[in-house]
Amino acid sequence: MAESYNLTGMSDEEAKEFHSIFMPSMYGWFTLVVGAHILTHLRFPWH
Amino acid sequence: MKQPISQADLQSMTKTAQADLSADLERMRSGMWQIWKILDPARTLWSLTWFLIVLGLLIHVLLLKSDDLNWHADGRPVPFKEAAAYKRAQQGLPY
Repeated sequence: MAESYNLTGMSDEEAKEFHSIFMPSMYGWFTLVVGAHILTHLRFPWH
Repeated sequence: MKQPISQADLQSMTKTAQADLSADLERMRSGMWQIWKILDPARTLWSLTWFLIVLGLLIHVLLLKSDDLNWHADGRPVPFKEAAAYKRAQQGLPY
């Protein structure tokens, strides 16, 4: 039942390909954000 | 009367629970790509883009409006001011 859900019309291969790009990009963004916070806290500690 | 759980039983139960949890998490992780059959990627990326831009601007404005977290008026020295002054002095320029 759950396997039959497809609201976007993407094939399994397309969904997997998009996911393989999305996840590393998201982790890259998180890394960037955490790094920015660490650098900011080193220069301007807020607590 | 209830028998106390032995240390070995407890360890065995913990091990089984950990293995079950790992297996469940792996099953969830390996199936996450299916989210893109429910959420439209283009709409999701645009939504994320605008959400992050608005969130970033909101946080910056809130910090700048605060008394102690406004980096333009917190009384802290400008970073590397001496280095910048020295560099400009070497070129015969005022700082």
